[in-house]
This record gives sequence, structure tokens and C-alpha cells, in this order.
Amino acid sequence: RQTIRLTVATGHPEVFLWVKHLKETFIPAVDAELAKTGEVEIEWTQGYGGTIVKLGSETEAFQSGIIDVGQMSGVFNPATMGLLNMTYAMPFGPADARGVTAAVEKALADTEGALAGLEEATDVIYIGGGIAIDDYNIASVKPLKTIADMDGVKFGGSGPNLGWLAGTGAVGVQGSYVTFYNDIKTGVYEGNIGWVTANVPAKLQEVAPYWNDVNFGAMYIGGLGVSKVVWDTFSDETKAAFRTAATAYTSAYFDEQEANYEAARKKLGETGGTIVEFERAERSKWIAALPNPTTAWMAAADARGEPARAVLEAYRDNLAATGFTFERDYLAE
Amino acid sequence: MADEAAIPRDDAPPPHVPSGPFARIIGAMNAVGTLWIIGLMVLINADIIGRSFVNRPIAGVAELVTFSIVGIVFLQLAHTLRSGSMTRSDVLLNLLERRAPRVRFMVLALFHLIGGLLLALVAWKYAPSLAAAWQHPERNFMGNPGFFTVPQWPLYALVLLGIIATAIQFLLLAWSDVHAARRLSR
Amino acid sequence: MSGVEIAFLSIGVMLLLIYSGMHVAIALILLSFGGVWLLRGNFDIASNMLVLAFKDAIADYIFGVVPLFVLMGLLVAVAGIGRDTFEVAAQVFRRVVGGLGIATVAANAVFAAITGISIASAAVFTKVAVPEMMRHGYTPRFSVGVVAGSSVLGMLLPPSLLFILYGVLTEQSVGSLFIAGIIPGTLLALIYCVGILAMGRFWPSFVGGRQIATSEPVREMGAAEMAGKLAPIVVLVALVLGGIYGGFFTPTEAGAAGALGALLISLVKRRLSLTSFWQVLVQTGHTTSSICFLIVGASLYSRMLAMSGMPGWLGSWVVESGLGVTGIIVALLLVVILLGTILDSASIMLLTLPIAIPILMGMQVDLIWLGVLMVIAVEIGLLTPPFGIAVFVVKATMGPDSKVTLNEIFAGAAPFAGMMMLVLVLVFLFPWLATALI
Ligand code: NA
Ligand code: NA
Repeated sequence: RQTIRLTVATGHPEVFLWVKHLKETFIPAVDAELAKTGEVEIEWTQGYGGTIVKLGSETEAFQSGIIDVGQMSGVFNPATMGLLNMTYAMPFGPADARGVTAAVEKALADTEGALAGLEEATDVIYIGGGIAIDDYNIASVKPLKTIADMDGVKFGGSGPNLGWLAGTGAVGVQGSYVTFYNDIKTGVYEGNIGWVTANVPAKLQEVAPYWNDVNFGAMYIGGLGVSKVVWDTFSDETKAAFRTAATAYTSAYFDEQEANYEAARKKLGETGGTIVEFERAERSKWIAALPNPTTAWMAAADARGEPARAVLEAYRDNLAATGFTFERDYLAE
Repeated sequence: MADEAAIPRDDAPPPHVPSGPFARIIGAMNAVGTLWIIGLMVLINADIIGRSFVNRPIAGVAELVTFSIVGIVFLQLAHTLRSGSMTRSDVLLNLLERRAPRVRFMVLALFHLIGGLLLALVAWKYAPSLAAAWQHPERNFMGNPGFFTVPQWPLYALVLLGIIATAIQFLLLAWSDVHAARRLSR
Repeated sequence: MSGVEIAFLSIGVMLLLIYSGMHVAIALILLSFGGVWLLRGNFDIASNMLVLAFKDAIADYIFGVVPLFVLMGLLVAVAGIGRDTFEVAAQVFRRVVGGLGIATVAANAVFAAITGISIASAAVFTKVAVPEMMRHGYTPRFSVGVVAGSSVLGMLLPPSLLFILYGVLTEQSVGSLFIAGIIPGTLLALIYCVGILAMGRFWPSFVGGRQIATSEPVREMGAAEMAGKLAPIVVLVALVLGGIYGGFFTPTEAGAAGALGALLISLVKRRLSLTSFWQVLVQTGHTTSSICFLIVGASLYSRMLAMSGMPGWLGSWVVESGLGVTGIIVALLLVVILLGTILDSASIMLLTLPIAIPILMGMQVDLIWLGVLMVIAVEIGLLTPPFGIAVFVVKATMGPDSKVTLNEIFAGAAPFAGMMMLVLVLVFLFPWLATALI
């Protein structure tokens, strides 16, 4: 009987579902799988919320042996794992987070040199466990139905989604869920780009009551990783246990997120919020006028030697196979 | 200008530390960091004004502020240590100054030596990051492509320079402590 | 050795090293390095951990504005704005022993409305208030103690970074938390004032106030002169408050706006020469460097403790002790106060809340009330040795020529930590103090 000591840590705290299920689903599932034969036992050291690794430093923490298991996230590590934030370069996609994740993971697995290149460059093994945030929309202090409604209005958001505002006349200001509430309340900006299962728990409807469905789409943020040095010491059985647990993690994450999604939209209405539908014709104009969001993303991925266009095309085609077509084919231009 | 007395001069090094070319180098680094603080103030205010009055926030201010604070701190760290501004407790040291001045210098020499070796270790382990960031700027930047990006290698270079300078300053302090202890034993 | 044993050993060695006079940041870095090396049995991981913290511990917008808050404080001091303000306060409070202490507390309460971090309050008032109090005959110990003690108001009264962090961790409304902090924050300020009066009466040697009554200024200022002396500070505070609550900038950005405002006022008042401006900037740099290097050390140390499993062990020990809900809250607060002696505020919240919140939520505890209790308990740690960041900031801002020792600052701050304990008990016994305004 072998005991392996592993450190699992994240930059986000446990209130985020992708951290909660690491602790509540992934780790117990690995333990349960391994207990079936009982040959290997894992002694976990857990540290969430930046107590061991700061958000954005995950890649280096993996590489330097500080953490063994954790999240591989393109949004929070754009320089090293930018390949994994491909959906942010393809806004106005589907709202179905599970479907987006499946399409991304299939694109990563099927595209020659995608995952292998990422693992080679970062020394972190992607073991699955992909997850996506529910449909991004805009909360604001006044209803937004047309592009004209957005002209000159300031919205808080983070780098990868502020670019989506280009061409609308809206002004993007950098912020995060730590700053949104206070900054909207005092008027530094008049709303935020976000997702409803984060906006409602943060009670942002108290300051920005209108939830405007512009439907940027669900966004894949990454999956689970194990440091290559550690992974190479695992037996096939242990590797299989990790992959099985990663699947359980994805599934538990989406089960809870979907329940939360419905509950959050309901609670939004009950706590003074209003859901507003952004006019579809206006949305189409917005999409048509948007400077091509894939350009900079592909340039950055190409510079790293990653198969940028091939991955995006595979993602687009995987979605098409499930019946979703982007209003604008960013890749045909 | 009687009010200036409120601010004690602290850019002059304590008398027992010998000055020389090294002192001039860290003095220059300190001056750059000092000017950078003004730059930081101007940057944030420009962003506030641009955002509030002409609807034009400055892209990448968050990254630039982050970049700046790290740069400023490490550019000035060696000079901060030299000027005696790095925080420590004086309880035992003051007691020793009266009772056993020679022991005090020996304790100080030991602590400064540890500080120097510890930072030398950090510098040694830090150096590969600079090399990697220089060779692969496409994997070592702050920000997001298409929005704002800034390469990390200049920052890593400044931090490494600051760590090395602080390590040297610690070792120089240890050296002068040893001398002072010897002088007292004669 | 188990992780928990390594953690406790490191605390013992920390006490020894810090009191022997090792630079605090170096002691923390050394212990983190040694601790991780022992915990993981790997030299490379331990040293890589240092490298990563040197890269990311202070790489944050919130630390980026530290030099600007320091700069604002120094400019206010060097331009004589602080002195003018305190001269007026000295005249108004001249019959009261400890009057300038009360003025400092009141000024801090006002300043709390424009800052979300206590480091800013401590840095600003060390330069503005301490020299003036000492000039008016207060003991150094009391002068620095008042400043360190009242700096906690910066995070108890809104806006407050700690309440925001608590709100994010527990999914409570930041707005409600801010409002919940108002009565306890005001109460703390009042208790400080009463405490200062009491100390002035029963412990005058600590305050150093007695001689004030005899060394009264001969010349009385008229109302117009007083207004003239107060005008610059009123303009500055109005500028920053108006900027924040008018939606022009965030409390974090207020440091930059305030520093620029102070610079302009100093130039208009012709109180700033190029030489003195350069000196101000150099000292700003040294203070910032010193504080931020400490934060690197503190961040490393908390990462090492998180790896050791000690905070989790303490937390589960409390939770599994079979205590009732009241017992658990009391034990949680005690753990927080104990951790406060060695850790920084944010780390304590991040380490304890995820363990405590699920249990307390199941027991129907009012999480807004708990938030106020947590923030007060965490902030007591700003003042307690061996690691008290407010005290370190005061020390760093005093500069190397200051004769006031770290220990004197801790001693001066101790009565204020005691009064915070009193407010903690009051809010615990009377939850409406936190919930009445919501
Ligand atoms: Na405040
Ligand atoms: Na403390």
C-alpha cells in the first residue's frame, strides 16, 4: 500500500463552484476510486482562496512543485494557458455551459498539437474536468435594449470581456466581483459584465437592478491539471482514478450551476431586479460591427506556436454539429 | 520653511556604512523608484480624468499599477535597508548597546549575514525566470491580448537587480558589523 | 514532525528572532523557507516558493496605491497643513488632557470614509498627528499608540476592504456589511475618546498631558484665523470624499487623487521647495519599500502556515469541540485573535471563514453580525505583537531617525487593542449594534 502526498490549491475561494467541487466532489471521488483496490492512498493538503497560491500564479506554482493538483485556467493565466480561453475570443456563442465545455474539450483533444503543446510548454497535464461559466450578460442601473442605450455608459468588467463592448459606445472599466458592488454604488461605473450565478449571490441587483440579456454566451474557463512530474509517477490505475473523478467533478459542477442558474434568475426578480431582453435586431447589429475578436487571440496563440485557427475552427464545427451556428463566422473573415 | 523639520532627512546613510560606487548605484536606483512614484500618481489621475470626463479610461492601468509597485519596491529596497528604514525590533539591541556593545555587533553581523544569504538564494533561484521571460515574451506578459499586454522581462530584470543589490547591502552591513565588533574588542 | 508541530515551532522561533532584532521581513521569509522545506522535504520547492512570493505577493492594485497614501500624508505634514489643523484642535481642546488624542481619533474617523485600508490611515496620521502631539507635550508612546489604535477605524467604517472580502467569502451584501460597521465603528471611536479622557485623568504619565494645561499658547487664535488654518484640510477632505461618493474614483484610487490634491495645495500655499519635495518622495519610497517587503514576508508566512494545516486543525478543533453555537462563535473569535498575533488580516479571513461559515450558517447565525465581529477581531491583530502591521507601518513611516522603538508603539497601542476587545464584547452581547441600521 502506497501513500502519495499531494497539495491541491486554488487562487479562488470555496464560494466559487469550481473550487467547491474540487473539495466536495473531485477529491472524494479520487479517494473512492482508489479505495476500490486499496493499493494507493492519497494524503491531501488543501489550500483554497489564495492561501497557498495566488490567483494568476497557478502555472508557475505547478511548475515549481508548490502545488500538484489544481485548476488550469486560460482566463486567469492568459500568458501561459491562453489556449484555454478560446471561448472568450468567440463571444455571442451558446448559453449552454455544458455544451460549450464539451465542444471545447473535444476541440482540444482532436486538434493535433493543442493539448500536447500546452502540456509540453507548461509541464501541467490536462486531465479533463472542464467547466464553463453560465451565460455572460450585463447588469446595469438602467434597462438596455438597444445599442443607443449603451452609448457613453460605463461598465465594469475584466480584460477578456471588456473587448466585447467595442463598437457600442459603452466604456469598459476594469473591475472584479470584489469591486463591482461598491463601484456601481458610488457611480464609478453603471453596471457590470457578468454572469447571473455570481451577480445574484453578490447582491449586485441592489445597485444595478436591470439584468440585460445580451447573451454573450457561456464561457469555458478551464479544467483540472496535475503537474507532469507528479503525473509521471502515477500508475495507470491512479491516472484512471483522476480522470474518472474529473468527469464526476464536471458533472457535479454543472448540476449545481444549472440549479443555481434557475434559482438566481428567480431570486433576481424577487429581490428588486428586472430581466430585460436586449433587442435581437440590435444584438445582430452589435455582432456585425464588433472588431473581429479572434484576431488578437489567434496572434497571441500563434506566437506561442499553438494551432490557434485549427482549435477555433474545431470548436465552431463541434458546436455546429450540435446545432448551434454563430451569427457571424469570425473565422471566415 | 520651518515646517520641513517635520520630515527627518533619511536619504543620508548611517555614518558607519562606507560609501562608494555601490552606494551611488543604489542611490540611483532609489532615485528612479522615487520618480516612478510620481509617474504612478500621474497615471492613476489621468485614468480617473479620462474615464470621468471624456469617457476614455486608459487601457491597462490595472496591469501598469501592478507592474509599478513591484518595480518601485525592489528598486528602492537596498537603499531602504541602507538608510535603516527596514522594520525591526530594538528591544534586545538597545539593551545590548548599553550592556554589551560587542555582542550587539556580533548579533547584527549574524542577522545581516542571514539576510544577505537568504536574498542571494532568492536571486539565484529568481534568475531563470528572467531568462525565460526574455526568451519567451509570448508566454511571459501581464494583461490580455487584444486589450492590453506588457512584457514581464523588464520587471523581472528590475526585481532581480533589486534583490541582488539588497543582498550585497546586507553583506556589506554584516562586514561593517564584524569590523565594529573587532574594534571594540581591541 | 507533523505540520501542526512545525507551525508551532515556527511561531516560537519567530518570537525569538523578531525580539532579538532580526528585520521582521527577513525573519518571516526565513521561517517560511525553513517551514516549507521541513513540510515538503524539498529544498527546491521551498526556494521556489520564495521566488513566487517575490513576484506575486505585492503585485496587486491595492498595494500599488500604498505609496500614494503615504505621499499624501507626508505632503500634508510637510506643507504644514497637518500642523495648522492640530493647532486649531489644540486650542479647541486645550482644557482637556488628551485633547489632541481625541482630535486624532476624530480625524481618523473622518479619514476612514475615504480609505478602505488601515495601512493608509496609519501612514497618513503618523506623519500628520504624531509630530504635532509630541510637540504639544504628549508622550511618544501615547502619540503613536493613538495613531496605530485609531487606524483600525479605516477598515471598520465604510468603505472597507475587509468587509468586501468577508462579503465575497460569505455571499453577504457588501452594502449591508458597510452599514453594519457604522455603529460599531462610531462606538469604537467614542470609546477611544472616553478611554483617552480616562487615561488622561487616571494615568497622566502614559498620556503625558499634564504639562499641556500649563504650557498653553499665550496668543489666542480668532475664528477667522482658525478657519484659515482649517481651510486646506477641509478642501482636501472634501475633494477626496466628493470624488469617491460622486463616483469619480474608487476608495483605492483615492490615494492618487489625494496625493495630487495635497501636492497642489502645498504648491498653492508655497510651502514646498524642490528639495523638500524630493525628500518627501524619498521617504515615501523608503516607507513603501519597508511596508511592502513586510507584506511579502507576511504573505509567505501565511502560505507556509496554510501548507502546514495548522489553521485548519485549529478550526476543526473548534468546530468538533461539541460546543453550542455561542461557544463556537466565542472560540472562533479567540482563534482569530490568536492568529492575529502572527498573521495579516486577509489571510486570517481566508484561512478561517471557509471552515466556520458552513457550520455557523447551518446554525442560523446572522452572518452580517458575524461579519462585524470577525472584522473587529481580525483588526485587533493589527495592533498585537509580534506581527502587527499597523504598528509596523507607524514605525516605517516614523523613519529611521525616530527614537520611538517598535516595542513602545506596541505598548502605546495596547490600551486601544483592549478597547477594541470591549467593543467586540459589546457587539457580541448586543447584536443590534451591528444590525440596527440595516
Ligand atoms: Na473606511
Ligand atoms: Na498582530
